[in-house]
This record gives sequence, structure tokens and C-alpha cells, in this order.
Amino acid sequence: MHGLIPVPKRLDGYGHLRRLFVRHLFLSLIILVPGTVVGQSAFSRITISGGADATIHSPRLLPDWKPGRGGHLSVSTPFYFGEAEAGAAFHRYDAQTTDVPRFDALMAFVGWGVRLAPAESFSWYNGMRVGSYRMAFDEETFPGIRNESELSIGLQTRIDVHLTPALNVYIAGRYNRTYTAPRLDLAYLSGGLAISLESPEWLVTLLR
Amino acid sequence: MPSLTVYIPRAIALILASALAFVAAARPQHGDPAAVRAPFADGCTGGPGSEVFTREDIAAYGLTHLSDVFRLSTRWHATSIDGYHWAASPPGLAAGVERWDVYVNDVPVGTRLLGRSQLNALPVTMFDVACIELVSVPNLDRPTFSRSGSIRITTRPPDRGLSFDGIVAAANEINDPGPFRYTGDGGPNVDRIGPIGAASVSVNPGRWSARAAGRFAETHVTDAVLIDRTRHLYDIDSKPRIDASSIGLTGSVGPEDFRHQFLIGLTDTEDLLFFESVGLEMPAEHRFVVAGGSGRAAFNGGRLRYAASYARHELGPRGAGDAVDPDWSQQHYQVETDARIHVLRLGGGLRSTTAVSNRLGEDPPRPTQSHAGNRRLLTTRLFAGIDVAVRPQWRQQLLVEWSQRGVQRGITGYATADVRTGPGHALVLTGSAGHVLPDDHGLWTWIERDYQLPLADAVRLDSLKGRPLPRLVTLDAAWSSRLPNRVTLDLRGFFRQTWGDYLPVYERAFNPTSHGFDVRTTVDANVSATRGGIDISLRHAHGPSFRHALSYTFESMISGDETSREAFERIPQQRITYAARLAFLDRFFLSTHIRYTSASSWPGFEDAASRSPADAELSEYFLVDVAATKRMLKDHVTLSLALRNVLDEPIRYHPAGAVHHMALHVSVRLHATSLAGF
Repeated sequence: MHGLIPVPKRLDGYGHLRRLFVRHLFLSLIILVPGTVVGQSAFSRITISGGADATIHSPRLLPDWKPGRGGHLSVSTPFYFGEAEAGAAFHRYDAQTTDVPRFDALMAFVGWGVRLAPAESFSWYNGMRVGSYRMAFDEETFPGIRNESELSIGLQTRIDVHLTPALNVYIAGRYNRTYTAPRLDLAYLSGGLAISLESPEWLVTLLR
Repeated sequence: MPSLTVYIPRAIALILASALAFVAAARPQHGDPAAVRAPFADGCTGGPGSEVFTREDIAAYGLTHLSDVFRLSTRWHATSIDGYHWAASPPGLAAGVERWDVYVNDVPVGTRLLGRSQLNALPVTMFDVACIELVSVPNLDRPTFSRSGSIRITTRPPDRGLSFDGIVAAANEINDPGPFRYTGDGGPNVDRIGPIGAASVSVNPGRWSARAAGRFAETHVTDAVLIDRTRHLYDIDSKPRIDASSIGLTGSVGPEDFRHQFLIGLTDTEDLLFFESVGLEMPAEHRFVVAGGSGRAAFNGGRLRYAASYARHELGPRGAGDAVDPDWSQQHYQVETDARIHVLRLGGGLRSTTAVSNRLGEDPPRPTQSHAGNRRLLTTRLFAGIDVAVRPQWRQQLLVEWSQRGVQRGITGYATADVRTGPGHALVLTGSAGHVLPDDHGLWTWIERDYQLPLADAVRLDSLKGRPLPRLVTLDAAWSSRLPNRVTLDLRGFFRQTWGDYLPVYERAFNPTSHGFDVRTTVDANVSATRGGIDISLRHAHGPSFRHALSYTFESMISGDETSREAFERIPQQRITYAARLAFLDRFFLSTHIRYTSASSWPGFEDAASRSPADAELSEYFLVDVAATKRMLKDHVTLSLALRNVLDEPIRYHPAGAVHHMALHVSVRLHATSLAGF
């Protein structure tokens, strides 16, 4: 049709609304309801988390790409309610055929969630992330578009074991939807270390 | 049963007669004329018949363009081809023909160009705006009481001392192909929105203030339909886009009762202008220059106001040959003044519009010679009336306006009664009846004077000379009430009736070569329509941290001919918005704006729809926006993150326009001020 994209029709019965609530918000609520707010003062602590990611679910990319190395780095702090975080996650996807290029993906995100701390040595965090998923394609083998950014929304659940008041180890499960056409849904299993520090007064003043 | 056309003149006569009857018992009006109006900060009056969007709203929803305000409005209906230019109409008036006026700090700025709104061409940055007021009824507190609506932009006074503001914003609409471009599953690339950047420096020693501002904005045409239409017109390296840059200077001097304000600015836009009668985008270089001032002086028993401005539009070719050269230059001078002496209101205005174009006919343009009558329009208007407080709670205004342009003369009567029925309750009745002068900024005004748009078929337009001027009757009844528990209720009913108006009728056929439309345009110069509706607005504040509002607008045609029916069917009958804002310690805000718009029909696209991506009917939609705003670094930095259209409804505002999906908008704003002053 002269290269024109057809206009998507709204689903009957507001299918988008239903789909969003059923698949995303409802899921978020299920995860977040167990969370309670730990008594806190906004920005009183800074937690730096870093670790490795393994992509465990990437049906859209198969069989053209195979997930490669991945990792993440984030900074989180108590917010007015719950916890806020910001950070980035890096993942590599290796081409399995000569028809497609290898690409590196970097998701820069902000996030929010709530933490349940039933014991001093253990806490459970559930939250969501919004960010930009930047894909850099191998321009040597595929000249043309070098990179592309797209909106990405994710959910995560994370269990921390507190080795000391300042040091945690954690494992996390993350689900990300990147709003390419078609959608790119990815799930990760992550593990890493987190260092928690008292925020200096000047930083609290600045962030507030 | 007698028709409404019989009742309306009688009703107006009754209103006028009753108002006159109160004059005998009247005493001079010395109170605040906006005393019963809803209070807003920074000089924004608000009131029944107007929607006010404040600086807080702009920050909360991450608005970056002035035209973004139409996204928040319930009452005004707006359409857009590209998401940058918006065509808007106040309730009760026909879509597709804009006649509303724009004011910045009470300075009239002629932003309309050949019938198209150019709101974003104003040299005003969004973060310098105190409020934007969309006025739907004749507001007799202003020097010009436009019956076709007006937009009033008020800039905020600079902070004391020296201050700096800056903003950088960008957005990304979803549906890029990502890696799937290589597998054949993905669609075309969707380009980014922006970047947008602006900065201003302000000085405010106390007795005067001034602000210099600059702005740039890139708008990428991301929709495949628009790309296909525009790529046939000119060669560019990348995808077509609209680039705008502007500089401006605003300022004021004097105390509140003797304040004088000025505005100077220039905006250059590498533009894509879609004219309905052309059927595709026209690339053009657009330069807009505006300079003007306004002021007031209060004295014992009265007040004097004035406004004067100069505006110039120039349209030239953009990367295309002479065949696509709009070749248009338009200069606009305007003076308005208004005096109140005890109960007497006197005022008037003078407006001169001069156009120069080789497309204005075969003869070379010589505005000062024999063809001056065809190229210069001079409009004069004078008004006189009374403005009295019949009772301490009852204010009455009665005005008669006489206007003339060339041999065309018009007369219009206005009446309004402003009654405070109790503490926090106000009733405002406004009526007007009379002639409507043709729009100096309208396309048909100039086509009647032989102007030809490039790429357009000749427009069939009978000469308006010798025809009586169109007539318009407006009636508005507004009730505003402050209820218990910090709830405010606004109710308004409105009625509009036109006779002898002129509206375009389009016959379109999809052109598979240009991907646009071949359009035959006929201007019907004898259109009659009757339109009415209601607005309901309910606002509630739960302490300082939570505010929300629910608004509903319904409008419908009561009677009308075929031409008006086509113009009004474009307007969705029902619009509902819900807006809420939650504040955490005045530093973090969560906002949501939910909008429902009912379906609309575009009969003019029915023939073209079967062979093009244009749908002759736009379906109803829910538009849900959510935003988070964080102030930090002692309020020097404001971060805003907004997800627009989170339900990812494929929304189209115009049958020939882009389809909009969910988008992430991010902005960072800097604000610094010297507390020491000067």
C-alpha cells in the first residue's frame, strides 16, 4: 500500500486497558502488596549495587541472537515512600546468523519499589523500572543504522542477605519489556554485591 | 412552534433592557472587576468560560511547547497533523476555521498565518509562563472582547535580582524496529521527539524587570504517512523535520496600577505547513517578528489601558523550487485602548494588515499604489458602554461596538451580569449579538484577494463584496460555587448561532503519487448553524498535598445546513478529563491526566478514505498521561519524567495526520537566582 503502515485499530472493549492492567499493573500490585515501608528518612542512605546478569528468557531474539555477557550498576536510596533507584544495565547479544548484526544493549533507568525486611539479615525488594533501552548495532558488518533507543519498562524482585550492616549479597529476577515493534520481552537472573552507606549531609540537602 | 432564531433576539433584547433598567440605580464600580472570579497567581484571572493552566500544571505534565496546552484542555477541541502544529476551536464554534486571538501580557500578537495557528512561533519559553488562559466567552474585563475565543498568556515576573533558567527536553515514541529491522519483522524507524532547549536571563531590581530568552526545538516527523507525503516535495539528507529557534525580550516597569509591559521577539522556523486546500505538507521558511507593549494607569474613579503591537510573518521556500514557494509577507499593526471613567466604558482599536506576495495576482505588488485596496486591510472599532455595580454583589456591563473595514460595517452589542449570590457563589450571564468582521489572518480573506497557495487547485470563492457580514449570537450562563470540603463546582451552558458565515467545503481524492490529496475547495459564504452545550468542572483539594479535578464538556449541533454539519461533526461531542496531582513535601510530585474523547466524523475524507490511510471517522480514545517531577539541589534543578499515552492507544487527531503512540518525555530544568539583588 505505497509503503504506508496500516493504522492499528483499537481493540474492542478497550483491550489495551485490559491488557495493561492484567499484564502489568496487576502483576506489579501482586508483587508490591507484601512490601511494607521500612521506617526511613528520605535520602538518608545510599546503596550501590553491582553484579552480573544472565538472560534467561528471550524468545523474540531466538534463533537469530544468543544472549551474551551482561551486568548492571545502580544506586538506590530511601525515598519519600519506598526506595528510588537509578542505574544502567548492559547486555550483549551475539549474532547466530550472518543475516543479522551483533548488538550491545544499555538500559539507563530510574526505578521505584518497596522493601520488606522481616529480619535483620534478610530483605525482599519489589519494584519497577522505566528507562531507555539503547541498542548499538555492529556497524562494521552492517553499515547503516548504528544505534536506536526505545522505551523500556521492567519489574524486578530481589532478595538481599545482609552480611554486615553495610554489605549485602543479592539475587534478583527481572522482567523487561522494550517497546520495539514487535515488543522485545526479556527476563534476567542477576546476582551481585551491594554496599550501603550513610549519606553525607550535603548530599541529603542537595537531593531533597 | 417559533424557531430559536425568533427567541434569541428576544432574549438578548430582554437582557439588554433589564441591564438598562438597572443603570438608574447604579453606582460607580470601584471594586476589583475580577472579584468573583477564581483566584490564580501572577495576574491570571480565570473565571467562568475560561480554563487556566498554571506554571505548576506546565511543570507537572512536562509541557514543552505552548501548543501542548491543548492536550490539557477539556473545553477547546484541537486537531493536529504532526503533533507540533495544532488547530483549535473554542466550544460552540466551527472546527477548521480559527478566529481566536492570542495575547501575551495583554499585548495582541498576530500568531495566525493564512488561517493557521502558529502558537509555537511565539518567542516565549514554557518555563517563563505564569499561566495560559483559554477564554471561550466574551470577556468584557479585557480591552478586546473576542467572541471567537482568545488565548491569554501571562509570563511570570522574574525573581528579585538576577536569575537564570534553562531547560533541556527530549522524548521518544515507541515502536522502533530495534533488532527486528534485520529479521524483517520490524516496521519503519520512529524518530525521536526533540531535543528542545531553552534558556533565559532575567533582571529584576524592583521597579522594573526584563527577561531575555532563547529557544530551539526540533520536531522530527516520525509517522510514515507524513514522511511519504513530504519526501516528494524536497530533497533532504535525513527525514523531514520542523526546526524552530527564537529569541525574545520581555519586561515591565512601574507599580501594579501603572504597569507597562513590552515584548520583542523573533522566531525562525524551518516549517512544514499542512493546508487543507493543498492536501499535503508545504515546506517553508517561516520568520515571525513581533514587538509590542501594553499598560494601564489607574486614577481616581477610573482606569486607562492600552496595547499596541507590530507583527510580521514571512514565508519563503524551503529546499524546494519556486513551484512550492508560498511567497508571503504579512505585516500587522494593532492598537487597542480602553478607558473606564466612573460607570462609563469607552474604547476602540485600529488594525492594519498589509500583505505582499507575487501570488496576490498577476501585477507586481505595490501596496501603496493602485492595488492597495486589495492588499491592505484597515479595521476600526469603537465601543462605548456602562460598567456599574447595581448592588454590592451585582455588577452589570453593557457595551455596544461599532466596527468598519473598507465598506463593510458591523455593530455588536454585549451584556453581562456578574452576580455573587452568596459567599463563594457567583453567577455570570453573558450575551452578545451582532456582526463578525472577516478575519485579517484568515486564508479566505486573502484568497478572495486573488492569493494562490502553491500546489493548490483554484479555490472557488464568491466575492464577499456586497454581501452582508456574518452574524453571531452568543449566550453563556456560568455558575461557580465553592462547596464544603474544599470542593469547587463550575457549571456553564453555552449557545452559539451564526448566519451568513463562510466555511470551506473540501472534495478530496487520494493521490498515490504524492501520497497526499487532490483537493477541490469551495467556500460556502452563507452558512447557518446553531450550536449549544455544557461544561462541568469539579475541583477538590485534600490538604496541600493532593489536588484533583474532573471536567466534562458536551457540545452538539442544534440545527444547521450541510456545510456547517460537516464542520461540526469533526468535533467530538463529549470530552472528559480527570487530572490529579500528589505532592510529597513540596519536592516530589506525581501527576496524572486522563482524557476521554468521543468519536468524530470527517465526511470530507469519505471519498479519499477508501484508497488512503485516512480514516473518515476517528474513533473514541482514552489518553492517559502520568508524570513524576522532582525538585532537588535546593530547587535549582527540576527533573521531569512523563509517560504519555500509557495505554498505547493508536491516537490520530486528524484523518491525514500522524498516529501517536506511547512516548517517554524527559526534561531537566535549571533555575538559579541571586538573592542579593541590585
